[in-house]
Amino acid sequence: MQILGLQLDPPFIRIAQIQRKSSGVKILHWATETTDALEHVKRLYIRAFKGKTVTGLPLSSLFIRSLEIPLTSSKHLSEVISFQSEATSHFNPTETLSVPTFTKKGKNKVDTLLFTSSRILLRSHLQNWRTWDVDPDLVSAVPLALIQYTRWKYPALTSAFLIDLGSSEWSCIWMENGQLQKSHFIGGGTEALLSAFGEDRKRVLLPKEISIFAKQYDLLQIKSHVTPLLSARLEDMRHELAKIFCSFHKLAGTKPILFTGQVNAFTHLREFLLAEIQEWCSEEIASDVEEGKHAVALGLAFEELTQPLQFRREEFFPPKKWKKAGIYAMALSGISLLLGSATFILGSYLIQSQKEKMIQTLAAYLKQEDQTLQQSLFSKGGNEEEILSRWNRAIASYKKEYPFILRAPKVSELLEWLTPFLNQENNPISLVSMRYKLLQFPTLDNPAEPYQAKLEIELHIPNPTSARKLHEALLQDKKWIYLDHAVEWDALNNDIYRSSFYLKNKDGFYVP
Amino acid sequence: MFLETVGKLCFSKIRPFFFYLFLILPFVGACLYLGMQSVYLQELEGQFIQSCKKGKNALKRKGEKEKFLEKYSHAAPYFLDTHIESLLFLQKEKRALRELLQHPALTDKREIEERLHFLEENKLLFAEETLRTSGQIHESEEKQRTPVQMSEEDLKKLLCCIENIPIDSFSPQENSPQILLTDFQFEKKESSLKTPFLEVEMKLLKREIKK
Repeated sequence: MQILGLQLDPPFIRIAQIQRKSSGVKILHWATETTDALEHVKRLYIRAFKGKTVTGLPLSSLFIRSLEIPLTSSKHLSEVISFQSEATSHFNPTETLSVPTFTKKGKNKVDTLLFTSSRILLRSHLQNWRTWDVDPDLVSAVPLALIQYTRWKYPALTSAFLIDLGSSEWSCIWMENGQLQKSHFIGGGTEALLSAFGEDRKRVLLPKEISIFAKQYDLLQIKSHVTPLLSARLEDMRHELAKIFCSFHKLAGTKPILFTGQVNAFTHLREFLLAEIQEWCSEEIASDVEEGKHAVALGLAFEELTQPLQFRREEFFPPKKWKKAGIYAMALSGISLLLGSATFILGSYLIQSQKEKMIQTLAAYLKQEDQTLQQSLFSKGGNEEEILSRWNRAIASYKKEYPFILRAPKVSELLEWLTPFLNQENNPISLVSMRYKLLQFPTLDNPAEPYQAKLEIELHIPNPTSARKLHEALLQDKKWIYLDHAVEWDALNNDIYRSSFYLKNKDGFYVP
Repeated sequence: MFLETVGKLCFSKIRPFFFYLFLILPFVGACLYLGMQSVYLQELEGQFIQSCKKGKNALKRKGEKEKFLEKYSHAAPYFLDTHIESLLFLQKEKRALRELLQHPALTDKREIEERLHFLEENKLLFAEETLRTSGQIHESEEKQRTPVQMSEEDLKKLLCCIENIPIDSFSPQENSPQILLTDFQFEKKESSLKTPFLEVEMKLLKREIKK
């Protein structure tokens, strides 16, 4: 992924392009162009650029406060910060935009830096960049960019004072443990010094020549009567710088110092400034002059690689991100609909195939058992439920046996059953009389009536033992006699026995 | 512009939570519908299994009914008159008595003649008592007017004819209506000539089925 860091430092635009790879970060190029050279600026980043663009708000557009919040849960952190921000500042929340950065400090504390900027300034910043067709993905802050640059360039340097000598303003930063502690800016910047120098030497120098001659002008040998305006301006700015570093020193002690920006705008500019603040700095860190000029642009590009500070929120949220969000939402909606439809279609197919399987089983069964019923069920058409419903109705209609089929034993069957009892070799038994009566049977008037038959027989049994055996045999015959009712057995005169009992209906199916 | 509006709508105007909730709606809806369909299918399968279990017996009952109706739908309209009431009983005894009457040594023929006369009149006669008709079924209750005498072989033939069941060498008639013996009784007796017979009396229920 490529990242373009853009710093608007009037009258210059500084650009740094980096590329993140799995092996690390590679700096592709950096450049500086004047803001009026619009086409030159565009060429720098439009050329085959595919990646993110980052800009930063200068210190003059920012109000930075630190808050210490005794909270560990990140769930309500932003709400607490928002409340504290509104409660502890005099800014109208509708006119400003506050963005926090968090640093966890111990178990129960979170250090927060609250970056506040005016919405008008932020709008103006975005408007300026729109002039060059730039719609940045990220709007961060210059002090954070300087820290990012220092951490990348000097990884071992965790605490230092940083001075960026910008064209429009100088930024002074106190970095502690790689984090921003304090920051101040000095308005005017090197451009104000060049302007004063140009005013002092306007009789001998053309405007185009001012910056070239300024680079050769040694500030260690400056004479106030030769360049009175420059001397006065320098003194003012050096005095401001001294005040800022004095305040840093009181809190931080002595620290190494790193100069970035237009350090070569005048000869010995660093040395000239350092002379005033030397007592509060332990050492000056050597730096590459050309790279240092693009420190902020590089830092802004590096900012994208970390958890960046983002001022593009609320109404400043990038339209192209809304577009991306729209594409994302449409894609998600599409996937959701696709997934829902796929689930619905697949599930419906499985359920339908299950129903069809049932119907096929039924058809195969009926083809084997009853083809007329199969035809009547399937010829009417309809879906699976209707066929199953017709099948259930057909089953229900044959729930009971057809009432007019005789279930009681027939007389001829009873006579056949009695024959073995009668034809015994040693003890002949003869059937004297018999009465078979259907006590209950279904008729057209009462088709639900069950069959109930009763048999009454008179037997001549000369041997009482045979009579007893026959009685016992009758009492145990569950197949023919309905034993829930009593089997009556009476001995009459002349070896005649009379027995009557209810007959059991047949279990099996009707065989014509 | 449209995509920007969609993006703002989904992630700014409504809470992203509701947007994500909206996203899972089609899937959840489909799952709910399929869940309900699955429950319905299980019920349907349960009903199908039950109906298949019952179906075996129901189909047998259906077949049984169809066979029954098929069998009795070709009944002869005057079956009782032509096949039952026309039956002749105790034919062997009749022949023996006729031969005896020819014997020259027989002096008193009166008793044998009376017996022969009785046997000539010994026929089944039924009186129609109750008549019921419903749709295709015509049902009548028949009562035997007087008891008849018959041999055991005669009884087998009679029962074969009435109950439509083969007994020994007797085969049932094909065009018989359904005849149920609702009351049937017999008693072993001897005639005045000391010949054994069965005195039979019965009531019938006759069902004729028209196609």
